[in-house]
Amino acid sequence: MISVFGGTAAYHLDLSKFAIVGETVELDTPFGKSVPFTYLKPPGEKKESVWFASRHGRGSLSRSACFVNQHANVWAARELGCAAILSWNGVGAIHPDLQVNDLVVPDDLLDFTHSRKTEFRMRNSGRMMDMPRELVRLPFSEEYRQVLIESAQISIRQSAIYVCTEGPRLETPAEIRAYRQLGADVVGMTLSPEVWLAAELGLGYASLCYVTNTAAGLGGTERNFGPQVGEKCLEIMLQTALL
Amino acid sequence: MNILAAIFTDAIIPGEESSTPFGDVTIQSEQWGVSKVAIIGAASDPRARVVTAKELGAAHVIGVGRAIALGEKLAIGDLVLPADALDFTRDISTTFFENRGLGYVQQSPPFCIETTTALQTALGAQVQPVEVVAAGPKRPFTPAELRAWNTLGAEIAMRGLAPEWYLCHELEIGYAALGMVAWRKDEQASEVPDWHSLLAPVVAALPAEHSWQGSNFAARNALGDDWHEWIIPG
Repeated sequence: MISVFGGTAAYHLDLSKFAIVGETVELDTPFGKSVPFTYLKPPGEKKESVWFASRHGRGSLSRSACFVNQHANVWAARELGCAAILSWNGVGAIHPDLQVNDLVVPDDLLDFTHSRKTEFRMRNSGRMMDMPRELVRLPFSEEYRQVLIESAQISIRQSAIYVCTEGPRLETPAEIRAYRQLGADVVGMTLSPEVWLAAELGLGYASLCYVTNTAAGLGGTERNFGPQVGEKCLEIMLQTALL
Repeated sequence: MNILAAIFTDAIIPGEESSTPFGDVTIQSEQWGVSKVAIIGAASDPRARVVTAKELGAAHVIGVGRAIALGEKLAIGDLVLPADALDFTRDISTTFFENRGLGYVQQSPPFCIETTTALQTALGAQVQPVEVVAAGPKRPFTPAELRAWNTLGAEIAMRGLAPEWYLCHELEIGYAALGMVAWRKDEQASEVPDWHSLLAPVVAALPAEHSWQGSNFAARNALGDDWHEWIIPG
């Protein structure tokens, strides 16, 4: 079982257009209440199904990225029996080759958040985990990254460095230049600590980044935060999760 | 009292106590020429002084403080006017819109153009424009941090700019920063800047309106035009 975490425009989606919609549950976790998770089953003979969660709310963008309870959501995904999380996120393009509406599957991350707890053990869970033995590792699951890239069947940039900022304010041009100097390709506010929390619970994690705009100071006025972002991303997520 | 501008200093100052939903602040109210200004000291929650400035009717905030020169070109005592910023503050409230889907405020540029232009016009050759300021945390900065920030493009480092500049933007107050170089390569200034005499002509040059006014469309659409509704916790 896979859990799909929806980001930009997930709150606009009519899920019944994509799958048979089952029950919706909100879990009480040691870290607070999760967002609603909805059981989605594809039409036809396929037996696989997914638990879908919209991070920022339903119907409208009701919670900005820095106030999403990622601890509760990741915990809930595991409690629901999921082995992995596939997520989508809107990002600003930093790399000059990227354009609005491009898709990117990041393979590395720079964490410039400054108020977020990156572990469950720091949140008084009462359930101590072993310290990770690895001192250095790539944050995303290569297995799920490859499945995502292969199943999408569209042109996707297959590696990128995602820089995660605190938000909710957007970035200054100086910050974007600094991130570029450090190697970042895209910027968003979502993936940390979500990816670390998933790893701590032993869940696979891969992300599909949808370029919604060009990052500050790099020119370009085109922006796309519309419903089609969520529709395209959910279609790809379901193709991947149901393989 | 309806003021034109508030001055945010990086120090705790004596003055009149004022309470806000985000804690207390200290204010010195003064008449500068034809304009009223309020000097607001450092607060434990930066939202307290931004709300105070808004409540007093400030259209502009000028954040003043001691600056650290990160490169070679600036000298002790130089006045500096940054155009862009890197934010290295930590564990501090970054928005009035906690737990809501608001606060995605553009930061390009981070500082209000009209407020910055008034500073530039009034101070003329006294002030040196710098491209980027590193807004650091309240604690002392380390030499390694200063080198790293310089590598990333910052020419000066200051305290007390962030999150104030973007909190002001959330409440549609124009914000600009003015620093005086007080530290350079282990050399520290002994004199305290006389902000009053420096800023009096600046306040006289401030326009009553600026481009940040009405810029928080998302908050206006979701919560209405009364900013008091914006700061109620979500």
